[in-house]
Amino acid sequence: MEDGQIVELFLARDETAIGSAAEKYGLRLRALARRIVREPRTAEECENDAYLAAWNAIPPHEPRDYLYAFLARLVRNIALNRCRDRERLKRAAFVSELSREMEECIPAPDDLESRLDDMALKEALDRFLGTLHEEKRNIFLRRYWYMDSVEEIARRFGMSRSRVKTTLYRIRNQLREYLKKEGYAL
Amino acid sequence: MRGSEFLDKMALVDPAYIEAAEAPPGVKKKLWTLWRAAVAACICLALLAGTAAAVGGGRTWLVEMFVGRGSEETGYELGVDMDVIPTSRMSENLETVSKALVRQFETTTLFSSWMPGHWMEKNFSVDEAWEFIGLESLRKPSWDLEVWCNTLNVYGDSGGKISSILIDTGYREGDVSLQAWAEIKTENFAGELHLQSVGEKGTSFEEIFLSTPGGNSCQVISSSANERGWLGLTGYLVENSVLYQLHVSYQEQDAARAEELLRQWADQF
Repeated sequence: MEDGQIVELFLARDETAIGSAAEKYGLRLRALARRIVREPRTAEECENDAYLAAWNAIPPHEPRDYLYAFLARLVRNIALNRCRDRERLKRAAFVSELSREMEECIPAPDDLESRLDDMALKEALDRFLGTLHEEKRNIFLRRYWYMDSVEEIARRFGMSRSRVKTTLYRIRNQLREYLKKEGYAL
Repeated sequence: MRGSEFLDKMALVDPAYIEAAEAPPGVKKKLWTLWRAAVAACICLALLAGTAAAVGGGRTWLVEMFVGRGSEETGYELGVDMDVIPTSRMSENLETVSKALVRQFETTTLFSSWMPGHWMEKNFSVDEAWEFIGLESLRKPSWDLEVWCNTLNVYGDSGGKISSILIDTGYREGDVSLQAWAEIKTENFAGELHLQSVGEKGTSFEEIFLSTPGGNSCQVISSSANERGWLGLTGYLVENSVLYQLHVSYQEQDAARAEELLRQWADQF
């Protein structure tokens, strides 16, 4: 079923929308959640919660052209929040590791007064990503959006782990310099 | 802003970029996979004594072992190479399961506490489960151990296409607990199979290899004792495109028996 058709089901408040979305994207969404929370049962819960969140978000959203990204974003947020739950602290190490890497992209110390709002940050990120070669952009997103391990990225792109690490390191530096040059302080 | 918040904000990225990053990378990956398959064949011959060489139709290998990386999380990840087995090679009983899967998707509701796509039968004996699947190359354990549970799991989609089958059998011998799995991936399975195990704080892991009298090799991951004194041994084997696993939980005084049981299991392949 096309994304547009599934979104129409959501808009019509037809409950088969959930099943249709699950059939088309369930495996991938669950895999994304599992990479973050590391437990199959919790990953299933995150996936279920995402469908409920989508049900509440469509309408007003109408992600006809990017339904997967819309659902994946919900799952990602839900799974990250689960990871930060007190009971899951022992599994949050993976998220902490990624957070430490992301810290390198921030050009200035934490400054509440100069904090970018979400729209400005989105524009900055999108513009920066647009400057990257497609493969580098995908590597960066596989690491910091999809939460893939370095090993998974190396297999996916057919390169060594050290090359993946070097690529990510360089892109993080480039992002920091980009944000600094463009006058963004986070 | 801190790194963790920035990680959250990555969700703002243009969905077109997100979708593009999800697509397979393309030719380069395929070539790498072909190259790896060719080299792996040579490496397997050279390192037969020290690797988890397949007993026909696949293998497992250690991707990563993480032990207290400045954090409490420990565990390991294995990659699995195994071929798919067409459902046409299995019993017609699976057609009944396909229809049940279709019904699951038709009857699930928004607030169901379960997700469709998983069919389960807990009342089969080991013999019945094997007979139900009807795959000749599927090896049934020949033990005299007490079976305390046996579950046949079948996973599929709303069209009734079965993607994987898993038999989960629990055994007991005194204070030693064993759990065995036999897993099949069908032509409807998409993606790569990885196994991951996460341990309690302070758990350490070691990789060892068992050579069997039959000349086969089994990859074994041993785990150190947890707070309650339970140690673990988990064996991994792929034979004729079926992934077999055995996990043995035991206390220190039963270590010799646990190793013996694992060897008995591996010797069957």
